[in-house]
Amino acid sequence: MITLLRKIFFSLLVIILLFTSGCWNRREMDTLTVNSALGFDLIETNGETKILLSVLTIKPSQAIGGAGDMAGGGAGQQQSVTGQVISITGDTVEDAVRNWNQCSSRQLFMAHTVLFVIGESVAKEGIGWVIDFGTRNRDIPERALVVVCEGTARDALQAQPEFEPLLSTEVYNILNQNRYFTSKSKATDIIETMYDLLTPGRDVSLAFLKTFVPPEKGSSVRQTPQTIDGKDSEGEQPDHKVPTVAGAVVFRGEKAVGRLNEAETQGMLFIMGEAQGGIISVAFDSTGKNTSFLFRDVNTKVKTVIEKNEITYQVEIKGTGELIGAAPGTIDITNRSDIQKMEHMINKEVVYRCRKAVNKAQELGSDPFGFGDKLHRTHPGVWKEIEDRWEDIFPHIRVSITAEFSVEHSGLIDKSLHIR
Amino acid sequence: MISFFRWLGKFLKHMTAEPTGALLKPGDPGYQEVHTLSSNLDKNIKIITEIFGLCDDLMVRGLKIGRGKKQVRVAVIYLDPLINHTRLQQGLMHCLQTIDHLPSMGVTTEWLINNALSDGRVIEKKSFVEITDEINRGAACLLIEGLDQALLIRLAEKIGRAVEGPVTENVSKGALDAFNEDVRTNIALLRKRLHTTRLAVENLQIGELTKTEVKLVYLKGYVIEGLVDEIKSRVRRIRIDGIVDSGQVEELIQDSAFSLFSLLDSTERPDKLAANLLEGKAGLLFDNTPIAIIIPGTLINQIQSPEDYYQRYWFSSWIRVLRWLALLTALLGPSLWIAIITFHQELLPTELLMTILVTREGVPFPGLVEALIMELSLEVLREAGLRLPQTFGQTISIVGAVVLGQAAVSAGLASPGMVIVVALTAIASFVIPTQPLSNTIRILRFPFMLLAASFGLIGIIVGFSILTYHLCSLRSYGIPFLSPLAPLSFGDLKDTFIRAPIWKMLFRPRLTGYREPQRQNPDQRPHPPSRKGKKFIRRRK
Repeated sequence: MITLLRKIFFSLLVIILLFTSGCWNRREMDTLTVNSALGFDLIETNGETKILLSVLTIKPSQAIGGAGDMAGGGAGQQQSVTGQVISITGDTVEDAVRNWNQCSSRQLFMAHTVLFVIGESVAKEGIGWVIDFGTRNRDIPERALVVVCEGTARDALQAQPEFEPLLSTEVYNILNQNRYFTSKSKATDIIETMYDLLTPGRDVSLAFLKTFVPPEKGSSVRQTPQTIDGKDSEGEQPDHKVPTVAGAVVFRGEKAVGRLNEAETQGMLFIMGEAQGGIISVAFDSTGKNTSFLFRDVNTKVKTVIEKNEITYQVEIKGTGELIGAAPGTIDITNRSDIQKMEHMINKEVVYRCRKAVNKAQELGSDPFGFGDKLHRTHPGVWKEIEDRWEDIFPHIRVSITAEFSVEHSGLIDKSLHIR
Repeated sequence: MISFFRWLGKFLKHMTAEPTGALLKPGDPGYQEVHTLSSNLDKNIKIITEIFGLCDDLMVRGLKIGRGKKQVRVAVIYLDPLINHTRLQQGLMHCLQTIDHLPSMGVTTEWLINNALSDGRVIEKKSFVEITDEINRGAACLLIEGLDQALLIRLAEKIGRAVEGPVTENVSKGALDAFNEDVRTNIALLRKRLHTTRLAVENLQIGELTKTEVKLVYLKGYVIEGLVDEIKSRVRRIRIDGIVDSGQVEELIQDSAFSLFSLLDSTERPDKLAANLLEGKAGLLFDNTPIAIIIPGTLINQIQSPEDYYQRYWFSSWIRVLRWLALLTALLGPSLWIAIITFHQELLPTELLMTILVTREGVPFPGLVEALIMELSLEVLREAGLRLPQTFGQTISIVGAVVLGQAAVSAGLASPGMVIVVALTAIASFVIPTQPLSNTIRILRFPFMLLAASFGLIGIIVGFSILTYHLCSLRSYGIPFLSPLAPLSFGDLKDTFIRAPIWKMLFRPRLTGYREPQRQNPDQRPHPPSRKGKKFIRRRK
């Protein structure tokens, strides 16, 4: 009897498990529209400010072409998945998401969103509600990256990706790749943006997405369509825009206040300790910049020093790297003094870039480095006193920057070439 | 439900009740006269031919042995198709006809055995029941006038095929002989591998009419204590008109009658049976069945192949890991796919999602229906391939795999992703080395698919939990079915997911081989000879 009861009890436990799961639901894939990026703009309609939500959806039907033709050459056709931008308006973003169903027979499925594109208008007015939407919505992954674009997000999303099927994955991959390859743009995801927005003494900095009509022709996307008689319409300019990322946009509070260019962005990343790889070119021996240094393993320490009511930040940047290119007749890696000279020049360049970033930020009154947060952590008492005045104090704080890089490799050859 | 089974049990009991034959039992009055031979030759012959009744193939040959006046009448009775005629002629007839002079004391059976008959397999019997039984098994019965004893000479012709290779348990490296339908051959194959007096072969008999010979084999002193008695009692409990195959007995003597799992291992490989006997298990060999049963069975034993021990240990270990993966794929492949594409689209990488979106566009069915169509057609194909003559088997598999899959996709009935999953599942299920387990997995796939379609991954998790609970509750002749995993015996894990080097497997499995725990000497790892011509140094602990 007891064993029977126990059996029933444990079976019930297992069966109850079926009904304790959270929010899932059965949804067939062909009832969904999968979107990959969301764009946010503000528009004026009839004197009212409304939200324009641009959705970059994955459009499968276009890709399959002739539906019955799959047997022929399946793999080739699957490549032609394309994105399609559809815009909807609403009073709030949630309203806009629901309004989607007025114009689409398929539910919006946002779990594959990888990119939030914030239009200029929204960036200037405040991005708070975008981040609220991104974190509150249970479908949207918090690892989606947030970028600010030039002009409207709707236009930016219509740029043509060149290597990936979708613009969103292309921008996502570009940003992630640049963490290690150039450190010239900042990849910020939703959760990090949220953190920067909420932390006192720290401001948001987002990557800047630019679209432009490329001057080149010849790549698959950039090539203009063939004319009817099969000839290449040579000499015509492509009419598609392509995406690129350039520098960063810094915010004060939730509002964008200005842009950092690429060198400044690199400087900012050095100070934040997020520069994970990139090239520093220095002028060795002759006038132009002719020697390339690839840095990595960058380690940044920020110290707060308070002397006589003056707050000073000591930024120490340490790192290693290798010489990956030198003009003929310049550097000889086997020569100790050459290396020292090289290192010195690298340090100078790094400090120069950081200095420029700090100056620009102080000029804009935005603190993307989190200096205020640092003070909060190290001197909570002091921070409490000046918390309200931090925006006024920040432009006047002193930041001393030192850099110490060492050259550890020189590629496959050591001396620079001596050309006869 | 329970009462139904109870009723079913009673019904079965009624059906297979011990037949109350007209034959008298030993001890009944009149038994002696009716059931044993008399000294009247004609009467004996008459009774035997009457017992056999309308048997056209029963041969009765009268002879006279000896010379001159002292000739004695004898009769040889046998069933014609069962007898090896050469041996009958040389071993019996010729001997009888060349007897020159009979002993003065009169002919006795001992005299015949010692002086006249050259064939060795001779026994004496008195009762008609035993005599007819022996005749039925292919013995020639020699009746002698004036004697109330019969000599039975076993001259059965070996009927059936020669020893051939295994059909279902193929190995690429290892012995290529398999059991066949003759139990004597099977015992011989086993004895060839276990040259020890400890190998016990006990005779059991099942079936009132078929009287099928069943041989219980085990190693004395090594077998699990009490196992032999338990097997005997379960086999003797069987009262049935007849069994034709070992599978029928398997159902009658296994624990947990309603489980989907086969709780006894079966094999057609003598090497596998021998290895299992060495681990303290027992085996049943059947006449007319090429499949032997290994008792007790475990799940782990069912997903191992004898080849694992013949190949290098690192390769066997890799194959075993692979086999577990294949087992999980075969069990959960389609259900995971259904769960992910109908519930958890966010789990897919975006690129994969795009591909699936494209290929599923235009498929009119929900994921489950699509999967069921494909799975069911695959099962039908599989069964068709099995039933068709071998030459067509190839054709049907090509037609099935290529044409149907391709056609289903281009007709928009299934998406290519589903076809791949179903194909992968089918291939994975072929990796499972034993047929019963493979079949169980095939069946279990469907409830998992239904669970996945109604509850998603949660359903799969619940299903898997229930499956695990069930597996944990199973026992086969007292040995937990999941051993050595549950209950965990750490030392036996060396031969579970991996296969340790042979020289490292010092001990027999804890639950089955505990009577003689140690399998080999501990210092058998090969070492290179030491330098400078010194003798081989053995490491001792």
